[in-house]
Amino acid sequence: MKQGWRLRIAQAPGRMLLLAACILMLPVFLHPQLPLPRKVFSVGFVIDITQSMNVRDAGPGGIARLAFARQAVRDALRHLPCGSLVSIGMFTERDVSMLFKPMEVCAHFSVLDEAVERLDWRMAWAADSFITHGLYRGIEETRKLKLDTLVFLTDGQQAPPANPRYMPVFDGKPGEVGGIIAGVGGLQRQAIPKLDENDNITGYWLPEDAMQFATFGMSHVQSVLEMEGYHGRNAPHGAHPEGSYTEHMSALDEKGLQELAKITGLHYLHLQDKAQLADALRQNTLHRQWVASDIRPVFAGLALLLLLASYFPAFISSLFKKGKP
Amino acid sequence: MISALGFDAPAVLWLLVLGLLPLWRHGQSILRHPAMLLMPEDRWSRTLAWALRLIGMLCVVALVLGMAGLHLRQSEVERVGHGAHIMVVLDRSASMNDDFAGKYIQSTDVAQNPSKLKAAREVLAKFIESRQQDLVGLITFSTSPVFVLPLTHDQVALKAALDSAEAQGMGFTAVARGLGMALDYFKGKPVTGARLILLVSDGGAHIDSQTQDRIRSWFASEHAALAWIYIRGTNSPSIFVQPGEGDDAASAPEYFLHEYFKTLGVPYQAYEAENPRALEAALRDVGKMHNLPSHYFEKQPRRDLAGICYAAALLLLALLYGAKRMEISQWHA
Repeated sequence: MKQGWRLRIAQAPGRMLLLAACILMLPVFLHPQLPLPRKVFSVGFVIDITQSMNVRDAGPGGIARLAFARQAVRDALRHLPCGSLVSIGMFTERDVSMLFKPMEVCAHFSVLDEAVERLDWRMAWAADSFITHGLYRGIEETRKLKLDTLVFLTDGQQAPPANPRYMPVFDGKPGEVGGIIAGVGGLQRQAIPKLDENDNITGYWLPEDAMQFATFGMSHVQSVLEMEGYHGRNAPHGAHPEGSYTEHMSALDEKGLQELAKITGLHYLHLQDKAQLADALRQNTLHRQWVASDIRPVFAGLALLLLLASYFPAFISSLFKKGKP
Repeated sequence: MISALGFDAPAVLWLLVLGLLPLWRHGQSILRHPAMLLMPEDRWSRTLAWALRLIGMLCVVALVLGMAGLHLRQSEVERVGHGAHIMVVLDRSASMNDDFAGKYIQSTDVAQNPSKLKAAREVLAKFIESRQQDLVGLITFSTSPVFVLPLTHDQVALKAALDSAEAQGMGFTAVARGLGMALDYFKGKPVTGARLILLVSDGGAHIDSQTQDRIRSWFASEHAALAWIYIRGTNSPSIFVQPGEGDDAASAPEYFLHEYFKTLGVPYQAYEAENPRALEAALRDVGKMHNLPSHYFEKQPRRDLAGICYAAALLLLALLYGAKRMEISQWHA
């Protein structure tokens, strides 16, 4: 029987190939589906909206850090494959606030995109910027929303200066929520602008506007006499507290963010071009889901191969003749 | 029209190059004939040969288009219906976490006794669901306003946003900025439907006179109406009853806010809702009042065209097969 088939193909290769192609096309109309692994993402994007994000030193063109962060997130949204889940949030003070529960990126693209576009520093409910608290809260929110990736865009600016002895402890498992800390801004210290209603710069933060040293819980002397100018309530830091006296300026704090990345198991990335974020996401998240996928192209592809083969009848015929003595 | 077509895997389109193969190969078995030159030129044969090549090319194209996932993109069709463009400005200050009786909610009795925010969220969600032709957007505020969603028909997104509107442990101060943000959203956009700003809050705040004037002029220039649903706790003052002597905008901000809204010069309604049912009734009334002709867009879901491509490919394959069947494999004398 097998010999018979071989012979028939050898004798009339074109006809047999085309017949096989026609038969292969039949299952296509039953809409065959097979669960296949597909890369989809579930990402919470959190953008720092504190005032240091208004410094205009980010990206290739030197635009405001916040504007650049928005661009990067919008670009990443455009590159996420359909089926990915996305939520958007913002960070200020010590807290992260997510705007909505995660949504599928393709079906809800326009609202996601506009929500990012309208993130503004004026939405900040307080002016402090406790970056460590914020990042840990971001991880917590991400986990609560059942997302597996956090993208936290910030310049790492801490304001007012924090007391290193009272930093929050990371109580999650490092790497349980994966993702990226994306540093935005330049490494050169810049003055932080004050903006008017139309985002025009009306002035800059001056040294006396910003808290230059940590005040909270700084008293650690055993004896009051040891510290000049000590006052338990008004000046627990003494008369000449240590401080850099540059707190009214801001630069991307890469060292601090790298440190935080190490603690939390996130990847640190200095975002210098908005397209980097989508790439980094692709590399740093390996989440595959089994999605019922359309396998019609498999049948169509085989049919196409057979159709093409039918244009080489002599070759096909020789293939099937070979077996015969 | 072309932009309405999309591909799931555009890279597959490179295979279209294979469609050139039938130009190069005819795919027919060559039979030797002792006196080929004596055969007369046959126009029909030539035409048939080219037709077969063409069918082969089309077949490749149809298969490749199908494999690339040709589809009509999801589109929007403009319709005229009855509805409004509603920007919801939702209070999520700390007091919204209390129940209507003014008690802080214990987690045990949430079911019978929802917090004001939870009740507002649920009633708003139901309202939005019942009004498919409205465009609805969402701004929330406590100490500062937060822009959450633009005007949209996307019911899933609205639900997702309402679901995550949790109260922040902060005061109710940014009502003016919340209204300003909503009016700012309308700025510069063509008026294609009745505009309504729907303020849902459980308290008022003093707005200074300069800001009052500014908001008044914005309301006028954006042609937006205002509805205020005041979620009134049992111990809260009424906005309709003039407070006693000695009370001013600082001690009874709700009443004075209501009085100010009345001077806006745009359609304004105020409701007091003392329980979830009253809240629902108020929203229903708002809905009735703002059922004006407006443009809206209806989503046309994406349509798969790959199936049509495959059907065409099968038909062409069958034709080619039929032609092959008629090919002769040897000369008959």
